[in-house]
Amino acid sequence: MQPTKPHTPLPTAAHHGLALCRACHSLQRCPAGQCVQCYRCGAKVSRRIPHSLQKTWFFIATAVLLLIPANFLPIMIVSQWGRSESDTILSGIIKLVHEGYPIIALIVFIASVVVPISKLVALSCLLLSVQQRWSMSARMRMRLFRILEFIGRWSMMDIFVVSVMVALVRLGQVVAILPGMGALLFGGSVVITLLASLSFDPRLIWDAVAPEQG
Amino acid sequence: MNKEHVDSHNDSNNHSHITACAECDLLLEEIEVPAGSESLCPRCGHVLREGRPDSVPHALILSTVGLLFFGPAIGLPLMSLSISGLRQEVSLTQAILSLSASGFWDVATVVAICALAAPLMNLWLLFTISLALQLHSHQPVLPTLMRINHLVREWAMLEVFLMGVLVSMVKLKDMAHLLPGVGLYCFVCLMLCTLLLNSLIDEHEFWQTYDMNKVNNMNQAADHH
Repeated sequence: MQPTKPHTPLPTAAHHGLALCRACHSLQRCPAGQCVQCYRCGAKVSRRIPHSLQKTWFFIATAVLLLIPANFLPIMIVSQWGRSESDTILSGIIKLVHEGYPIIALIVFIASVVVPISKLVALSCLLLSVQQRWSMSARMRMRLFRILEFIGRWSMMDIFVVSVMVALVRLGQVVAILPGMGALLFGGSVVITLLASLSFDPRLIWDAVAPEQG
Repeated sequence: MNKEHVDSHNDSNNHSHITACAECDLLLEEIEVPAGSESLCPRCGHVLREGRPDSVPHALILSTVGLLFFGPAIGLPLMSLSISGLRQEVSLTQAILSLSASGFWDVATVVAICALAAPLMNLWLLFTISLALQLHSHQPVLPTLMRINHLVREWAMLEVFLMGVLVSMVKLKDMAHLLPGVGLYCFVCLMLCTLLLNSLIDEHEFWQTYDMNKVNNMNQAADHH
């Protein structure tokens, strides 16, 4: 913990008119609310990501709109000896349990159900906590954000599963697997959720925290 | 424009021993981190720097090995399947092509970016950058390449793809006879290379080497005159 006197503003880069380049971590002068070009790597630098909250809300809303139908529409269609059977994300997991692979089923369940939903919920909570100035511990919120960033990529797994199976099982009349509309919507939702967490600026969590709480 | 660049450069040179935490914006003094340890932000716990000496040569070796595995990993069959005498093999490239052939070019694009293009770009950029830095270059294009690498890394998901391959093997096990292919083994090696890269290099080391090359070169030029 930094020993700071109460009521003195913490020495943040923004407070001193400086901004950190997010790509190369060089510190440079930057007027409030403006973008400058990083002197070292040429990236756009600003004190905070411009319109971070609005952009993140927009991505979250889009991801939710895609994720809901993605869970009800078939993610892939298996046609074997002339009869076809479609699988949604959940029915695929239930099938894995029935076939006796509970651990694989659990991995798929976490990657394609728990992670996407909890990431969207947690990201919304973080945004609300910044906007409503909730008095949650900033360190806890930061830990939450780091976990989200780390696990978010794993929800892409089901898309890879579908694409490998589609490519592998195409034996004409005998058996073939085709991707379903659900795969497209789910993939879109995952990509947009990644964009949402990339456009959220974690420094906003700390801006709302009173210095003595730091 | 040019003058502004010079000005801001001088400016930050004045406080080059000061840095800020990327996640909470706290101003901090830059400290040397001994090998094997890391420095954390006192306020938010963000890892500021990791003491990873020889990041540049490590990156050069690992990216070279990774690039050698890349061709076979994406071109050779990941696995083969046989159902009642019919055989089918699939490589990553074929998987992407057959996805787009069945009309799902958008899903194919996502797979192509996350499992192929982003990891390839990442390795190739690391190879180029570390080779140039090792040769004491301070080409003005290097910072741009490092910035692109920073962007691309976010989308490289080799480990997730490999997990997806394993899950699809389990799903197909009851339906058909499956055999892992050479491509799968190359893919595992490729993934190990990228995992090692992530745990053995610290980007700050790259920037430091670049700045050092630049200063050395300027001094040499000054000596000549």
